[in-house]
Amino acid sequence: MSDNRTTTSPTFADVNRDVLRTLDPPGNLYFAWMCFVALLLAGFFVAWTGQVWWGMGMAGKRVPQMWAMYITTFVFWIGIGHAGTLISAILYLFRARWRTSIYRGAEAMTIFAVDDGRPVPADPRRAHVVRVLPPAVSEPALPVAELPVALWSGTCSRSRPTSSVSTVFFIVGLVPDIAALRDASTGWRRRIFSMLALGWEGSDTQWRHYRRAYGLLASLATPLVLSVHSVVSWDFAMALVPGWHSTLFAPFLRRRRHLLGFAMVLILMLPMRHFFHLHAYIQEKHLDAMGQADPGHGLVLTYFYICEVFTSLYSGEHIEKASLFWKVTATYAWALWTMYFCNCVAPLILFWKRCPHEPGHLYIVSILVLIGMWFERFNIIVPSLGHDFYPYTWGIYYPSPTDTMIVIGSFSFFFLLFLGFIKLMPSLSIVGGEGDDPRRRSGSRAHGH
Amino acid sequence: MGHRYAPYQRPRYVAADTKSVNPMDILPATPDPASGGLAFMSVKVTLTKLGTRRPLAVLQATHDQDDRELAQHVDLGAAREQALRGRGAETPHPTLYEEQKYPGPRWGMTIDVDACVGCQACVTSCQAENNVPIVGKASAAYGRQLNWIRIERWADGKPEHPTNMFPPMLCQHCEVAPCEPVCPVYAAYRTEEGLNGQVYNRCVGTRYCGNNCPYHVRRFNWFQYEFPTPLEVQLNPDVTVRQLGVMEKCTMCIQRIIAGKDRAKDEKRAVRDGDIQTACQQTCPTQAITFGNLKDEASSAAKLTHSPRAYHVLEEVGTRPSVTYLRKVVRGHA
Repeated sequence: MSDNRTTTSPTFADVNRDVLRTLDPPGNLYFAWMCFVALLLAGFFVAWTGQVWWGMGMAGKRVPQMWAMYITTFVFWIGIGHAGTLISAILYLFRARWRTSIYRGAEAMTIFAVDDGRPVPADPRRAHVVRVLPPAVSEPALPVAELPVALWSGTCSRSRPTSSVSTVFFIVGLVPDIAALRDASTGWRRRIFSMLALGWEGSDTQWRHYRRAYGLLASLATPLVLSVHSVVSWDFAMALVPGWHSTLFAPFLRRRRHLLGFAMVLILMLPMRHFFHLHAYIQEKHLDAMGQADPGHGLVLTYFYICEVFTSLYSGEHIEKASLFWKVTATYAWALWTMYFCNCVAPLILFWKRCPHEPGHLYIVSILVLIGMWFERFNIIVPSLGHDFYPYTWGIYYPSPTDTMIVIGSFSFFFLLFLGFIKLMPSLSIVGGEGDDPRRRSGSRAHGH
Repeated sequence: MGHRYAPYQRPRYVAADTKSVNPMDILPATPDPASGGLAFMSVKVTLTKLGTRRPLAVLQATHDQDDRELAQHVDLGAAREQALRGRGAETPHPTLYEEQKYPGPRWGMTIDVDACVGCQACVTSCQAENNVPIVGKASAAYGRQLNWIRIERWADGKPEHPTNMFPPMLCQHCEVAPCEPVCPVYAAYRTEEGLNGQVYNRCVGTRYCGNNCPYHVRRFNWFQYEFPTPLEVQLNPDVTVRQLGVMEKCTMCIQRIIAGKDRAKDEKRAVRDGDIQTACQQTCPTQAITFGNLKDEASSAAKLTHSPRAYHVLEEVGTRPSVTYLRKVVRGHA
């Protein structure tokens, strides 16, 4: 790795300069973006307050779709969240060196997405603690009491350790970089970075402990992340609803997550690369590595989709088949075919030789994949419920302004966190960027002082 | 009108006296000159064309059962033959789990689709008995009605000669209830007496049970529903008024079950068949609904459960409902 970098590899000073440049006060365009996203977030809070005040009926749910876009978005964020750690931790365990350019972004994405997933489905409901208060107090107090409670206690109790492991993994990864920043910055930033750097000096002992801790966390995060997503999928599989009642879900969702993770990382990193001129760090070969993985994942997904359809047909169950035919042909068919196009067909364009390292193409494919992934969760949840066992209640779900705004707001929350993160923390790995090679690492010690 | 029931008087929750007074007796039998009908039943009306259209609140998505045999019927000849031959031995669904044991009674219900005329009296009585709020036309049409029992209308056969059936649908109190395992807080649970309980204080409103119920009979409080004056006066003091964000459903009038058991205890005897009547059963003009202890083979509900016409809705899902339906008997063309 370090060999073929010799021509393009920046010096330590370059790295410091370039990464510090991302921490400059935001320019007008950047600021405008942040304002726009913050505005959407304000809309989220308005909609959410209304929902907490008046009740869950503000969202467009009803019988039979007692769940709809909130769960869709929740599962989507959980998927994104874990994809980030998975990419980062697994690539680390497999010693894929090209991860250095993307892992910080992927991990930040993880943490913001998992945190983002939480308030989305948090329904207004009576907290037992709040109930002792008089109604005038308890009703407005409700959102505060309920904010951190995710929808399923099962999912929630499992996603918490995962998100904390992911967070620790993320922070541990940050420490040497923050130390480098501490040395390069002045004023209040220096004070904050000194605190966050936890006294990092870059000595050999520190590096030895550091690498051990990092490897340990990576190997801890990997199974946790795998299990959480499997549990989320079993939360659905344990139900009777045709379209949910399938043991295929766990491996299926796991495979989807890889595609989703790469897509989201690309969506976040490509504009960064472009606007902050980080071409020397996020190189074409890195894009290539990610781009080449996409069509493979797309093909695997296609196989899973075929499996899903096949098992429905082969089951010989009238209700299961009726549900499938309805999904493919009736009201929600557009959502299903959008998903098939975005997840199965769109990634295949990257087979074309020129495409994988062409940022524009990659960006379009990534956005399509993201849309496809959101619709995939939508297709599991909403149409399955709309045409299940009992014809009396069959029906279509109409999103209300409230749930539309809350879903948009959850995306804006994610992007606001990421935009803020870029300006506050090194969004690119400095130490890793200097090469993942111990010899080079010991070099960074010299620099650290 | 009036049927055989006495005015509702205390002590409550006991079967009506068969020697009750029919209020119809004291009303005049003179016909109304304009309509020719009975004077107290008719009223003169005038019709004016307004030129506007208002959609009806249709609660049922389709009248086609899509071959799911929710409401079943049987030909008269076949029914007679079945009645002579009796019902074949039941083949229980295979299971890996231990059968549930009922130390006390096991409550159950039978609903005779043949007897039901679809008058909705059970819906109204349930609403009054169980403090079910009124959600309004728009909400009901959107799929947020809160009635614990609903009358369905299914048409089978040729469109020219359909067989119309009106099975009331309520919580089936399944022995293997899909709503229970999905509840993260154990708000939905199986009681010892064969009911599916719902603990309102525990419920946090995930609505998973509502999604997973194949019959879709669980109801969610989407808003804080009010009982504006003077409606609060008619609230049943024996039943909780549910609040925003909890799931609710048919309890088989658990308050009446408790009252019936208490009364039997006070009189130092066991609960007799017919001691306890659910609100829907008490109101049903055609006595299509029978409630009772299924463990007691002599009870009328248990006897009807063994009827050759008996079936369970969505039997193949394997939920083992405590509510048994009796097929409608049709003649000829069906």
